[in-house]
Amino acid sequence: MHKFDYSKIYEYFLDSEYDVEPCEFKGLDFLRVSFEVNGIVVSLLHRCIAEITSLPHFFLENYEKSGRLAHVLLSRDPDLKGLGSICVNNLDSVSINYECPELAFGESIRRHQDLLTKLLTDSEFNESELLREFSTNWQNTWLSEQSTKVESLICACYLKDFDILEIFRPLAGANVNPLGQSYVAVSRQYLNLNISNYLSLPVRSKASEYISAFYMSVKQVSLVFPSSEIELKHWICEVFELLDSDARSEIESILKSRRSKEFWGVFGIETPSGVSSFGIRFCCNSKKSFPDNFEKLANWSVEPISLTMLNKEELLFRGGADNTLSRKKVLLVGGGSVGSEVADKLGAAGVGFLSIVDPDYYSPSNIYRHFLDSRWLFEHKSLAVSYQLMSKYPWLEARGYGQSLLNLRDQEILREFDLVIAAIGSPTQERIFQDYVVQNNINTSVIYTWLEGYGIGGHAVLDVPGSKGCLKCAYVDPESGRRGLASNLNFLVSDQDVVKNFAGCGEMFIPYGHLSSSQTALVATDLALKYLRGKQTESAKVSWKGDDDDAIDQDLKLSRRYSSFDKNLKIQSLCHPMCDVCSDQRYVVYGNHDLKLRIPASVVEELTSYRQDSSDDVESAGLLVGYGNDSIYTLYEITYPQESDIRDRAYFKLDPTSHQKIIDECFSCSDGLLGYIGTWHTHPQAVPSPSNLDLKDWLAHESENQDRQLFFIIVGKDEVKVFGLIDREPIEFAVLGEDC
Amino acid sequence: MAIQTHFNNFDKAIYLTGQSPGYKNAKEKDDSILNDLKTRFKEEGYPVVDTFLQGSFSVNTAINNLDGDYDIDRALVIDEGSAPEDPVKLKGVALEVLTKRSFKNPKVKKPCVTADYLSINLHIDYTIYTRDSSGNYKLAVGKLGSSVENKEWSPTDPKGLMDWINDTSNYGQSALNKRKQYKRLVRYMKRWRDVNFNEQSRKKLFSIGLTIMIKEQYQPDYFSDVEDDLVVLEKVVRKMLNAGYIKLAGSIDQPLYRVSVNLPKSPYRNVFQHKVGNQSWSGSDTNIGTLFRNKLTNLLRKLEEANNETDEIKQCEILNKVFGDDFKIPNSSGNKGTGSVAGLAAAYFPTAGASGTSQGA
Repeated sequence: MHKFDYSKIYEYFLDSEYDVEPCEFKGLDFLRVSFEVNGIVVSLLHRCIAEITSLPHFFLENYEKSGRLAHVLLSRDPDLKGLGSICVNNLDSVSINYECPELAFGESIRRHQDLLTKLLTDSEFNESELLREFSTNWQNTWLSEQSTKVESLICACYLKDFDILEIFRPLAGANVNPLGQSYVAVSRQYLNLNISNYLSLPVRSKASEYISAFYMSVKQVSLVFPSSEIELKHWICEVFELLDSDARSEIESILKSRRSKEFWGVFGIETPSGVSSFGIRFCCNSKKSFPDNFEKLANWSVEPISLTMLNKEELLFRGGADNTLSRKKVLLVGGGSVGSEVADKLGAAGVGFLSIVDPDYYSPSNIYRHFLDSRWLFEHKSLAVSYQLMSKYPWLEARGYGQSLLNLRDQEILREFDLVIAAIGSPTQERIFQDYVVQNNINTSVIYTWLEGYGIGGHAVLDVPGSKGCLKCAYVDPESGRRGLASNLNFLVSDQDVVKNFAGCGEMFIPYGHLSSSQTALVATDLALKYLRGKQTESAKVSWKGDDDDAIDQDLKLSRRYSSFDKNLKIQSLCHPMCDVCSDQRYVVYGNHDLKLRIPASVVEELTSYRQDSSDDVESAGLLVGYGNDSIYTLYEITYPQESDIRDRAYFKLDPTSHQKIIDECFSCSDGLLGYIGTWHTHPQAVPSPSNLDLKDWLAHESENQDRQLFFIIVGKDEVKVFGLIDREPIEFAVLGEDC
Repeated sequence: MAIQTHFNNFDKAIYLTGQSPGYKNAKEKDDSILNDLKTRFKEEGYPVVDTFLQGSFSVNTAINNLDGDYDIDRALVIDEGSAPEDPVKLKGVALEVLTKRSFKNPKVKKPCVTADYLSINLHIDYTIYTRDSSGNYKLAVGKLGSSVENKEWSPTDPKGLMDWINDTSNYGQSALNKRKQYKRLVRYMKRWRDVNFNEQSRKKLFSIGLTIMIKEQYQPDYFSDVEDDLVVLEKVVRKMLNAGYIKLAGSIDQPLYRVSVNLPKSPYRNVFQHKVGNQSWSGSDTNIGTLFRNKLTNLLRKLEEANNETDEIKQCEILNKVFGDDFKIPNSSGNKGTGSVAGLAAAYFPTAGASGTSQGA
């Protein structure tokens, strides 16, 4: 491929702020950028390439002259000898406009210039960045060229000041994996059964008594890395000398008493990104105490160790898991296709304790939609899932129990957990269980998650005790105004035959694929993690909606919610306006001409709180949100005056956008049950009556909302009046009474 | 638009780099000949240890030639320890290589081996150096058949010259901006030469001479940023006229001049030479010296005129006469930059609100 046209780049930069010129380096085409840092000219070189596929890369010219710089490594390419390869974050991840490569160059130059200027002018920053990349540089200096020679070691220990470690040998045999081929160093206190199994300690043999090992945290290291054994001896002696005297004497007292032919030292150094570690092996042909100065080191050979740390905080942090979750306890009921996926995702997130409850066994019919692998066939699902997870996540404590949800109606047990997740797909048991939680004032939140067949979707609801919204909200049937037996979240109409009979009773199943269960597990786990991290504090619901092809093929009817639902994966309030537990059940009823408006007592209180009692009170106004049918409407809530409204003693004008936003949110959360049903405002009159402007406004609203009855409330100083429009005339509604 | 914008556009029009596409053919030839030379030198026992570009490409002062010619100056470096005593020996080897390729009359000149390519307008100069362990260079001087006293390995400092050209240590604030300006001035003056001198004299007014004179006379204020190119160019041209490069050679009645510019680095010789008989003497011939003086004086007058002019178009008209048609005269000044706004992203509309703006009293 031909190189693209660099002359365009040079031309572009001719009259720019940058000094960009072509040049040759060892006979190859390069592009040079020069800029000044503290009056010294710094040059960057870019090797000309055929095609721009990422932000252009630059080298620092005369690398040796600039002293040690973080993010700059001496190039190993013989063609680029003497150049420092610069790392400016991840160049690949920037999306570039390859049709205007000059812009990519401009951006890359700016980044490189910023970084180098900072490194060259701010020595503290440079030092701290060097320290941050300590282990990478150590690895590069020592291990990439000598990797065949050095031993590899996995170390599991606390990162404390000093600790004696035990060394285990690599596993013997031909089929040993790389983990097994490494030495292992562990500190006794750090071990638990899990880690021990993880590292196969029970089948490893201990290293000979001639080998001693220790972990030591060091305060300071020279960032000029040694490149020969003798330099390494000097380098590590300097590290010893920089220890404070307390640490030094403690170490001496412990290490002096041990005489060994080999010492394996694991050293940790605090960097801005956590503790970086490096390993050094000291060998001698006779047993001696630890050589902690240069003189003693004369008889020892010293070499680096290829070290991998197995440290909880570091690994959880680097893997994107959340260390704060490590103390959370989750009770997961259901170890099936959804539950096992939830368990895996909770483990990956760093949740520390997981109890898995399921009475079932893992059978071949589960294989294609279950997380477990074949070695667990015919085992208890709960145990199998917990074991499999523990072999994957070394710091997860998982337990399995062959119980069912209803066995768990035990206050003592439930109060122990931060969260219960029910993934059993049994609406009846779930509601019975919820009753128990409510009746016993158990403060533990519960997530109920289930999926529907044929890839149509899945759901999760979070019931936080004491917050608005409960599991019953998910079972209100708006059409009958009662609690139904099927959830109002469902996308398939209830009471249809969705179960396939495979081989008679006991082998019946709802057809769905692994993707459906994984997707459902994702929404449930997302909700769970948000709750555990304190980001979701109110009862909530979330659904994912899939394609309807398979359901339609089966002649299944889809619910109204399926067609209107457009809030995939969005966590919404669970509270249902018609739930008898969660909403105010005391109403003031206004009526006229077979038309009624029920206003909850709490809303009446809110309205009267805006009365213009004092002579300088301005008018307040807002919208009415409610639900209803032909003859009875219920006011559910009102919108409050917004900052952007215009308000005067005897005049108001609403900002339509901010009020409409609230209406839209209510509409969406309630799947279309709640909507706009009128306006309210205050008058500085004892008994209010509508003005001409009011009437004009109401007529405008009516013409825009002909699909529904609208109500207009005026809050006077003494009375609250409700009006409607009949044949374009205002009709006042009388108070019919109170309804509970 | 300030006059600087027009200079910038002019600069873009004349700027040539060794990586320009038009130059690619020439470059491929250069690479392939270079490989042949390396092979032959190695066979002779004088392996090439380094090679680098010299001349205007190496310091980025190259411009597009009006006749489309490309010049490459390439240095071949061999180790001093392995060098033959006779400096001309390797020049003979180079000549042999070039003769076998499609070159028309390759020649060994005193400082280099030179050749014109047949099929494309490519002119290549190969200079051969030795380098010792401390990095000191010596140039192979002499022609085929020169007597011993006319052949030598002559100490020289090719890299030193490039570094001198690129040096910013006297520039103070915004040093790199000043260096960029200096190089622009060199390119402008080279184009001025190409436009204002006929082919014969153009070739004798060596680019390196201009480059050195401008470097020496470009003396920007240490404590401020660059002024615009027109102002600075006027100052530099005035200084060039008065700096003593141009010396009277004839009588007062019949004034003739020679131009003399010394290399700032080893071997510090005069860039310009003239011949008396077979002998070379320091300083240009009087023909080129006199021409240079007249034309440079004329240039200064024009630059003064342009600097005194306030109308941008008129400035450009003057400069167009001085620098040729690559210095563009705009159609009309002002009213620029109100181009089309097509491609402007459309604004989002909010969803239609059923509640509308509610108002009342």
